Amino acid sequence: MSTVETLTFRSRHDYSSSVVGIDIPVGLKIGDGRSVRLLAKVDTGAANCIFQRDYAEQLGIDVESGERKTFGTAVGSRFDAYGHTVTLSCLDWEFEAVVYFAVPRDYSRNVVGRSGWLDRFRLGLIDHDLTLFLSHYDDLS
Amino acid sequence: MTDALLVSDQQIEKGFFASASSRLCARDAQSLLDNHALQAWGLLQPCRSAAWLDDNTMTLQAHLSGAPRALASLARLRQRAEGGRQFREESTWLADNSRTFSGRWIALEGRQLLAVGATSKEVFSKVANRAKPPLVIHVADEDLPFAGW
Repeated sequence: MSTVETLTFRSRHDYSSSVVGIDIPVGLKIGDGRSVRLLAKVDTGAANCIFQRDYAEQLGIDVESGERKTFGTAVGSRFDAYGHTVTLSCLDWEFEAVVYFAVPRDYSRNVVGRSGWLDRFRLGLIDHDLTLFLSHYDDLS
Repeated sequence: MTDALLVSDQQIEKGFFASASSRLCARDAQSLLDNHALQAWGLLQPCRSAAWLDDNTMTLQAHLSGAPRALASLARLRQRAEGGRQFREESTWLADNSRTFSGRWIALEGRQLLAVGATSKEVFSKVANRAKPPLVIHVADEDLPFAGW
């Protein structure tokens, strides 16, 4: 016996085939102060949201004052990052989340991962159509 | 980015079209929207008596009381549409031009390149006076396929 599951989503986001990965627009803000806008890759394999430290510095965050965490990579190397609470905006939503800023200056990949992003949403992905569907977990289904 | 749940937003029971005592249900409200005929509500109900309309048709005041919520929804939709348009323009620009700026930091707003620099600090300082923050990114030297985490 087969069953059919139906999901509905609030937002649809069409991403580009010409870049590596699935980019989404992200905003980071501290309180009512400075904000930055960047592109981040959706990465379901990443434990957390990790951004280049340049964005933290632009926001006036002292990177090393946050919660330290060591991340492993696919090739077995490690790097440190520090967690800070920021206001993260993405498509139709804005919420507070702990995100990490990488210590190495040559860290070059901004990712939204499970904790702080994926755990806030219901996500649908049809890569064949280059389409990402998103709803906040608490939105009407 | 498009508005996949606009219909659902409008179908919320007791939404901005319905007062607590009104019989104007969400489905009726949707029908009104579909027909673009809010002002002709009475004319769309030929099978209902004048008495029914007297008793149950929403008053102008009831409609107006929902106006702030409707306007807020409209503002969100506009903001969403604007954000989607801007992202598409920036994605297109990057697809066409990013190789020219390999290894550099750039600031972009829609199709307009605002600043280029060797460091993020340099670029951020060039766009510091803008009311809305532009997209600021580092263009990878070599955008190899990523192995994932």
